[in-house]
Amino acid sequence: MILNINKTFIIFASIFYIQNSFAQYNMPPVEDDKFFDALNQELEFFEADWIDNHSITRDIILGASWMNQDDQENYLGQIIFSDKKLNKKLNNKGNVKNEIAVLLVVITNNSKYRIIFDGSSTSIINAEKNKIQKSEFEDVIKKFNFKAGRFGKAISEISTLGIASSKGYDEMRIGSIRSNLLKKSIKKIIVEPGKSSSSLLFIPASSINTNSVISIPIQNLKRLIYLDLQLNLPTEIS
Amino acid sequence: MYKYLKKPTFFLISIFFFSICVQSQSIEPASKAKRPSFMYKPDLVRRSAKYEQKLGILPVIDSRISMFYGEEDDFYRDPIITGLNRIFNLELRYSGLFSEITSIKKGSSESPDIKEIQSIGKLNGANLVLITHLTEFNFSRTPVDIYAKGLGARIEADFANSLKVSFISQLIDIDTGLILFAEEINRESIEYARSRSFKSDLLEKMTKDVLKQSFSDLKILIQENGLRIKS
Repeated sequence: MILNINKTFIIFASIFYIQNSFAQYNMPPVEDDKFFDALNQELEFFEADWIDNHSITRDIILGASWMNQDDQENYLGQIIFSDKKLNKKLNNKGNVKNEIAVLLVVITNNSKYRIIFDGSSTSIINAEKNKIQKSEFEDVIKKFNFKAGRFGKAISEISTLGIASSKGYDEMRIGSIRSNLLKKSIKKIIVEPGKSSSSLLFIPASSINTNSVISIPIQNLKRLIYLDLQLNLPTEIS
Repeated sequence: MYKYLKKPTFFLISIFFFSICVQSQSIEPASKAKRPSFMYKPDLVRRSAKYEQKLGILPVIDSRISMFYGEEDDFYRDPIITGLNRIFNLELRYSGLFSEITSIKKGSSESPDIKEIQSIGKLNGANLVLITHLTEFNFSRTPVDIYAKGLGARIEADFANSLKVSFISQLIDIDTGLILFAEEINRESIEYARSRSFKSDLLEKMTKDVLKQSFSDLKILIQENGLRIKS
């Protein structure tokens, strides 16, 4: 039997190569991965008043629109909150516990002052005047299915008796997702006079209500003066 | 048993099993003793101070949207904010931009009004106060290539490791309440590496590089753009 070890090894090696071909079929190269592709999709340029749902406070315009399914796939690589669920919620129906909805938020500073747009302190104020904080970064990450597909993973693990791993592949995808979210999420920035900035706001879907408003603090950069920009949540999907 | 195996086959089998056993590792903080420090000694600049008044530096306010990486923030020997407070103090003290500098231990609120700043300034005998919001101090990895290893049994990826630092600093005159300087500093350090070859010394190098560049920007911008109150 020992004399057959050479043959046995060749057979095992062949099986590994075959399984890997299957596994790689389900694990496309970096440039074809949907999360990597989304990382390279810059948010479209907007001025806040190009969006139907906008408000103007002292020449500073805040606009917001829901990210529909197509936009989520394009800019995030995956749908994390479907149009169907969002429509239901906008009609005050449906159970959306632990779900996260996505908004495109645009600020345009038409005042003559430089401002700090404090996106990291964004909150939703509901009809009862309760403040609901935007979703935590790690909670948003958890909404993404980045692990290798079941088919490739199963073949990879079964044929190698559980030794082979798709961990490197998973790590690659989570790397893309993190980089993408860090780049596109709303944060604290300086907005110069005449400039606009677009970013993504993730909010708990449970806070969606026709009477809810988005509240974002800003600061004047001539003196320490603060102001809260407020805008109704959009009532329909664009 | 070894005598029944041909040498090349034995060699191949050894490499094969070694390579499939070496799995890629996720990024986690090193044990406390092995964590890198990002403290460094800045270059001392001798020049006539731009501001003759005394500057009080407030502790950095953490306004990041995410921890350093994942749900972990303890990748360095000292907490990030503690380390940054020390570096801010050192960099501005060595910059020669201010004739006198004091480090204020008690922080302000996230969005202090002028009364709060004036009270802090007077308590510490400062004429100017520097308030800084840290908006990014995050590590991220972007894949650049994926390939099979271990005779095809293991999927691996090459990454561009990135450390991004952003902060907004404001220099406030206590008497008038005017903001003399306000800028956002953004810098990024990128190093290419394989997933399991991420080392503490690489993180230390990336951090020091990105901080030195950020403070170089800050000092140039204060020198060039900082307003002065005419007496």
